[in-house]
Amino acid sequence: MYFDSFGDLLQMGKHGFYVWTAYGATGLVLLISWLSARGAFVKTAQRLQQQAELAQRGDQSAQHRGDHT
Amino acid sequence: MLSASLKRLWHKLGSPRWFFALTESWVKVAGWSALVLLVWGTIWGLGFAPADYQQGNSFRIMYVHVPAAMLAQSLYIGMGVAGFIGLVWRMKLTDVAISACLPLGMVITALALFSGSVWGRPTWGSWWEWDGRTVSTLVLFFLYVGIYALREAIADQELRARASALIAMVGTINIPIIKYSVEWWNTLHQPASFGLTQKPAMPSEMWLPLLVMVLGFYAFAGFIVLVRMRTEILNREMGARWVRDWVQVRSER
Repeated sequence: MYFDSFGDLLQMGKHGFYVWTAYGATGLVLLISWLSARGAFVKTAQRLQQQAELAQRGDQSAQHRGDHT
Repeated sequence: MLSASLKRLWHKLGSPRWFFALTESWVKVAGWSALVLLVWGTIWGLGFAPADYQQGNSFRIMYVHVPAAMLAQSLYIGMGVAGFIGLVWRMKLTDVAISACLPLGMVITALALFSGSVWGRPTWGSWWEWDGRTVSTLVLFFLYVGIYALREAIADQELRARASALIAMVGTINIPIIKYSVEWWNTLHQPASFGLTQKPAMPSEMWLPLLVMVLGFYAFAGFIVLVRMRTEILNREMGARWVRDWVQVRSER
């Protein structure tokens, strides 16, 4: 490692605040981008799943009614 | 023969269904590569690269700032190209691509501005300078915000697609302005750290981590854009037979 200790790594000479702020913001932006993209995909997939189940149930009950008449 | 098969590929590329099937495995490759490259590059850049003899440790911000700024422009170029193809060939998929690049491009441009500001404070002595490059990047950010707002405001899908394609295309004029801003105007912003054609102006133990980070950011962008495009395709093709089949296969897994 370039730094002598973990404390030095955190301190970064006198630039620790700036460096860690920039990296923190980057981590946050990437994490939020990932979570929101993934969230949207999962939500859509779940909605499609529900629709498919509803359609299936609809088919079954229509068939059921058909049996009695 | 070649032109016929190229034409076929072109038509296939425009088909949402074909694209959806094709990119299933790409998503995983892009996502895992992004994770590995970003973790590797961050550890290397933060802990192992030597400090700059002039800027000290603040130069480590470069490893997130430069890839963010490059990606901000690339995503916009991607939208511009998609807009052009969409307007000329009326391909369905291009508007899906624009809608997928937009949110990431917007936050990445904000990140480029923010990390630049945080780097500027210890280096230039101020959080913000009305410098050619910072201003043209701010314009890029407003272009992203503008297209985003426009898309939110127009309900008609066809009109929305054409309007955003047009602005995306016209806005690409800003990209060469960002690129050459450091040469055209007397500026505080340092010249390019990185280029395809010339040797970097720093030793390899400094630019190699940057290369890893740039690749990581692009892999990440590929991953996010693909996930968003696939989501948008599912939303648009909801009633299609192949989507119902896909849902079935997925629920059985």
